[in-house]
Amino acid sequence: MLLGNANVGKSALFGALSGRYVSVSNYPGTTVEVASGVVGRNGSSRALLDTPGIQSLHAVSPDEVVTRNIVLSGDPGAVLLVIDAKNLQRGLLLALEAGEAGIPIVVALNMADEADRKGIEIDVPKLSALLGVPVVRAVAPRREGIEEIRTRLGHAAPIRLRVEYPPAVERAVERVGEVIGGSRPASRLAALLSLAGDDALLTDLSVAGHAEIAVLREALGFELGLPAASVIQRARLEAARRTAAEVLRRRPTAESLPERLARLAIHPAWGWPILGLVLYAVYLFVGVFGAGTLVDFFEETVFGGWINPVVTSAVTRWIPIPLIADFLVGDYGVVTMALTYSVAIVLPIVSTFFLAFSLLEDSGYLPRLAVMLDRPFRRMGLNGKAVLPMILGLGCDTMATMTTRILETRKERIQVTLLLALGVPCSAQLGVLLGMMAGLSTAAIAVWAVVIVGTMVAVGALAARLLPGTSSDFILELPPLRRPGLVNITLKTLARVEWYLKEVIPVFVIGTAILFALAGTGALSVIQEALSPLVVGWLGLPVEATEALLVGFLRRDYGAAGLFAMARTGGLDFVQITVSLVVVTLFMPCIANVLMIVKEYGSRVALAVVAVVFPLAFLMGGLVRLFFQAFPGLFS
Amino acid sequence: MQCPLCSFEFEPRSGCSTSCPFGSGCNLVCCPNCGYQGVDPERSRLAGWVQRAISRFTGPKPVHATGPSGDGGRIALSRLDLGIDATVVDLSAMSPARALRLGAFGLSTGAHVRLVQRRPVPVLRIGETDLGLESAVLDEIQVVPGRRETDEPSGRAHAH
Ligand SMILES: Nc1nc2c(ncn2[C@@H]2O[C@H](COP(=O)(O)OP(=O)(O)OP(=O)(O)O)[C@@H](O)[C@H]2O)c(=O)[nH]1
Ligand SMILES: [Mg+2]
Repeated sequence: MLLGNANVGKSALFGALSGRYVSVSNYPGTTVEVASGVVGRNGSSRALLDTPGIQSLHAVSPDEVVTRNIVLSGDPGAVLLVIDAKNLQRGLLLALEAGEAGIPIVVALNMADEADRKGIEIDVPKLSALLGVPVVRAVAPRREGIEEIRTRLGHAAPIRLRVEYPPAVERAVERVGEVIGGSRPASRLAALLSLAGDDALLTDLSVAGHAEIAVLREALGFELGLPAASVIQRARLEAARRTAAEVLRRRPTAESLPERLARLAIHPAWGWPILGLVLYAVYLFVGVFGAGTLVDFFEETVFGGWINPVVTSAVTRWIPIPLIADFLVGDYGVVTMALTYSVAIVLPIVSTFFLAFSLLEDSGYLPRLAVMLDRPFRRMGLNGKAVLPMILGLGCDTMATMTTRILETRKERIQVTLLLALGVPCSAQLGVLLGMMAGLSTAAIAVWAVVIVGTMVAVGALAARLLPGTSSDFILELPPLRRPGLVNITLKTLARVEWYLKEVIPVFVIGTAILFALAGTGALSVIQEALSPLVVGWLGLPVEATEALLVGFLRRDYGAAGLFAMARTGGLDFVQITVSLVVVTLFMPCIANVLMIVKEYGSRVALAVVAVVFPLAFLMGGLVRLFFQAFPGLFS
Repeated sequence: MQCPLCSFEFEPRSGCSTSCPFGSGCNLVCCPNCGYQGVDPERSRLAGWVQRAISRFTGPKPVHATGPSGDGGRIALSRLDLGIDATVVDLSAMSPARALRLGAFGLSTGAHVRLVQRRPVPVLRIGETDLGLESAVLDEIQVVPGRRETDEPSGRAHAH
């Protein structure tokens, strides 16, 4: 398995070693799930696991717990401990913990190129001798050191370097070892962790004797005159510091351009224009180029001028059965509706967005955005760390729901999950929304923005009050700014577009098929009739909007695409466009998102989220309409 | 409050009685000594907000790192000048859970740290790690300016 601090390049090494692509990005918390692959070498091959990064084996957030449990499971196999060569001391801290677990280790000093540039020199043979395990210099994106790691994995050994704790700690470790069962694997580490206060660990190990250990911990703290945790921690840090000092030499270097930029990006004054510039660049690329130029080209030229007429005439000529012909090219046809929407309207927008997004991810800007947005997020009872999943939600809310694992408390995780489901439009939907907004006045767009942001802030603040539990500190590591690698950007964008094609297009086709069936059997008009008080009476939309809202239950971007098509053909006036924008933005993102919430937090939470989101969407939509009615002429 | 013109101390509410019909809702106060009209930042939300924004931007005046103070030069990290190396000497004000969390990034007594910025969020450099942090944390970290080597041999590594 791979083990290491967050953002040290584990996934990049995993990709180079196993040949399997996993997502690599320049922010801590990219990997939240274990991925497995195989390292092969002349016939002999071994399984390799990529794991979420951890700050310490004293796990705090659920993604860290996953990794810690593998280490403590007793048989992690050979472990490739990945250390950021720029930050040896921190890596050694983790190495010492891993040494206490007694697992066989090979150390990879990754990011050796960046260490060189910063004038940091590490005496690799000496480090290897001190630790008693193979140490390999590596630069994952350039595949440097990969072959050597492959060879050395066969020589993994337990780390010999030991932290010398005060005798009182050693005695307590022995006693705790007896309580949790001294023969279990990694019992020394488990004992130290529980003395340092990791209660969740004991539960995870299903060890009885919480009370006994708590007593030992208290007694130790009393004996030392300090909390046991801080004594243990300090001893480890001191050991790591000394070892690092022995093998490390540094030449002073001048501040490089990326370093200066990194500083400006979080500067209290310069940070804002930079943020504005970044957003504007994304808007130009996705909103203007993707949603404008590319969509026009695909919808009007490719589908409108070419595919749809050709397919329609082919179908009418070769398929005489009207039902099937209608199913393919009718009003609710698979080609004329599902494919036109998903390929012509959504795909260009999604692709440009994914590309822009990958660039942002790899540059290292996102954690800096979190710093800039910490303050506004506090209004929603969250801290800047929650910016990461929220921004990822602009890519895909379902994936982002999984990334909430990087947050430390369940309360924050559920809060962010709720806000993601409520008002963070995913790339597919964002694109369609941008398209719809093109025809609106600035004032109407402002109404939309104020309503969405206001709803999110209000719901976030309310959830912060109502949900039980605590919030965590804001502690976020800021990785260096890097020039994104072309290969990684391309791979990541393609992987995401592929995901889109696989997940979204089937849903569009199924949705269309359902509409087709409803329309064909006459059920559609019954539903339209039944929902008319809501759709026509309360929201003031034309009755045809019902079908867009219906498919919006499957995916809100599909609903948005339907409304977009209505707006383009003049079926909606600007009040109706604004109202429907508000309603679909506040819809649940998609079925997959609901399923993900069920998977992560159980069906009760999922139900609660759904029960909040849909009524709120209709409520806000109706209120916006009333607002426009109260002030007619204000926005025309 | 203090009159900005004559520095006379007075209660804002006991300002000059105005004959203006909107007097009760007025955010201006008059100095009873010299009659100077000023803004009561407590009453005017806008002025109060701007004032806080200004002080937030300039920040509390940091203590100069070179000048030794009574406690062997010990200050809370929040008061350290930006861009100066300092050595952590005391973390006992911090909750153990928080100390453990930050310890994983290398923060402990004896560690060398540097405050990179205060706003919008304090950024602390520990070794090669830049950390964005809660501002409350800075008050719990006591440092002495300058890089000091620790002399306590509390932990040592040795190979078996
Ligand atoms: N210069 C340089 N950059 C690297 C190296 N290895 C990885 N990177 C970059 O470092 C960043 C983090 O890489 P990842 O592989 O996602 O890191 P990780 O350890 O999997 O991170 P988490 O999953 O968040 O714990 C990416 O931007 C990589 O391109 C290296 O050896 N040199
Ligand atoms: Mg990773």
